[in-house]
Amino acid sequence: MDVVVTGLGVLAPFGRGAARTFEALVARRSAIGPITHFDASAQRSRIAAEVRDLEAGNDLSAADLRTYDRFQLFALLAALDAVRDAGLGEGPLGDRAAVILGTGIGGLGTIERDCETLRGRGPRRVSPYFIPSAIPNLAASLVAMRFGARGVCLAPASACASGAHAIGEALWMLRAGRADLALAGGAEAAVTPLGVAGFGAMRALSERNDEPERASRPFDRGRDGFVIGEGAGVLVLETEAHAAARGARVRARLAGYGASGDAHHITQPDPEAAGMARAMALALEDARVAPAGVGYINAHATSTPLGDRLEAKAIRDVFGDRPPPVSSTKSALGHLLGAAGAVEAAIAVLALERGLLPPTLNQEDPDPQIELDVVPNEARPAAARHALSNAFGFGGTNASLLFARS
Amino acid sequence: MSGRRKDDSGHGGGNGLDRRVFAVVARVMNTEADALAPELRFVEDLRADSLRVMELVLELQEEFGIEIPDSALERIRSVGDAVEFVRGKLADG
Repeated sequence: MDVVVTGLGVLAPFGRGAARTFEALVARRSAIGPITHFDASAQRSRIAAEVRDLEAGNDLSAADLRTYDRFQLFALLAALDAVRDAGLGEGPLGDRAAVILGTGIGGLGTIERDCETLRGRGPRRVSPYFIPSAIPNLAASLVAMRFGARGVCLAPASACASGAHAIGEALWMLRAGRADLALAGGAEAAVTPLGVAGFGAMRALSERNDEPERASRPFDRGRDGFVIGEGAGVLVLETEAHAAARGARVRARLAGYGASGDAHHITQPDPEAAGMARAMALALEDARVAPAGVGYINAHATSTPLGDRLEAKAIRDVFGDRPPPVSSTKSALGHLLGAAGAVEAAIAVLALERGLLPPTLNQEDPDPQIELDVVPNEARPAAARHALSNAFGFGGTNASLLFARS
Repeated sequence: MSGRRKDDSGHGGGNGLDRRVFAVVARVMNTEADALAPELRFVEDLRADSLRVMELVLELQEEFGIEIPDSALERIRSVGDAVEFVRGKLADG
């Protein structure tokens, strides 16, 4: 059973709207700047791709804004945009609509605030909304409540692959006949003191603090870590029959999904990159598409020295000597962690739709160990028929999604 | 309770204490203080769920520096109940 993409919703550091994000990428803009959410002066990394304005308009109530964690608000807004884009009405989506919406961490900002309350003022001052705002599945549940989606409702947690796994698992669920429609994606809001300190402690973040826009440089020899970002991405997926029956516009087909585990290390990828390669190969096999049929890869490449090199190796292992063009939009957008796979899936769909590959920015000093065409610095017209979107997470968890032009 | 005379009808918050309780209720219940009246009940009229009521209790404790024991909750069902409870606590304190 074919599964199609009928709606895209993105809330990202470039603002609200999938097209807006795509157009900013093509225009070579950077969303990365100094951290403004809190005083970051003592942090190793003091830069981020922040959502500065929710642009919620009348879509969220004052109660929503005061009550829920940012990752939940991001998810609600992205889901609203996706549902509107899909032309679905205001009515409940019903028992056959699933919500699969992942996050890497959940309500980290909420956890930090309530922890301070606990230490400073005692357990009886902790908010009754602490648990609902902190737990990872509440973004999915809030979205389900908003749209009356009463099918499967869950939150895959696979670190930076959460959003991609959510979309892939939704694909399989739709194919298996367990739902007709799914809102699938990811949300993350970990640009918080503890989030930035924690990734900083791992030396995972770029410390190019004086040049924020040049800090995220996947594949470039000068790369020194990722730049943390935040946001949400949601796709409306439907069985082809369900979409056709309601006359929905099909933006792309979700043709394949591959998932694998490294079983190797808590944070480092397998040095042979076998897990990454297997995820891509499985996605191709799932879609019955040959490697030569892929015209674009939106890489996971976060701008870490080891991760980018291994993903490049995995791509060569799967695609041979003539891999398709590969870009990492994290060069402009930062790394949205559990939302990355979903936002980048939306970017891959738009690349197919518009026949335009967004560039990898900050390519100044090519790394000889990375034998890829990384679409350096400039967007490129290309009529790709299939696009692959990769997402890999801590714990050695890998997901690859294959989209086909409709 | 202190037996102190009620100062006014309390609509929108009359005196200082009423006004402060109304302001807390309005903030927690996401409404305007002017829209509140003493007879309005939190659950039935203002559509609060149990978490929202607990949040209100927390905020009243913070605002007035008082303790509200769980045993008092069943007596605090309306805006007027909250005003009276706080007034009594402050008088006792």
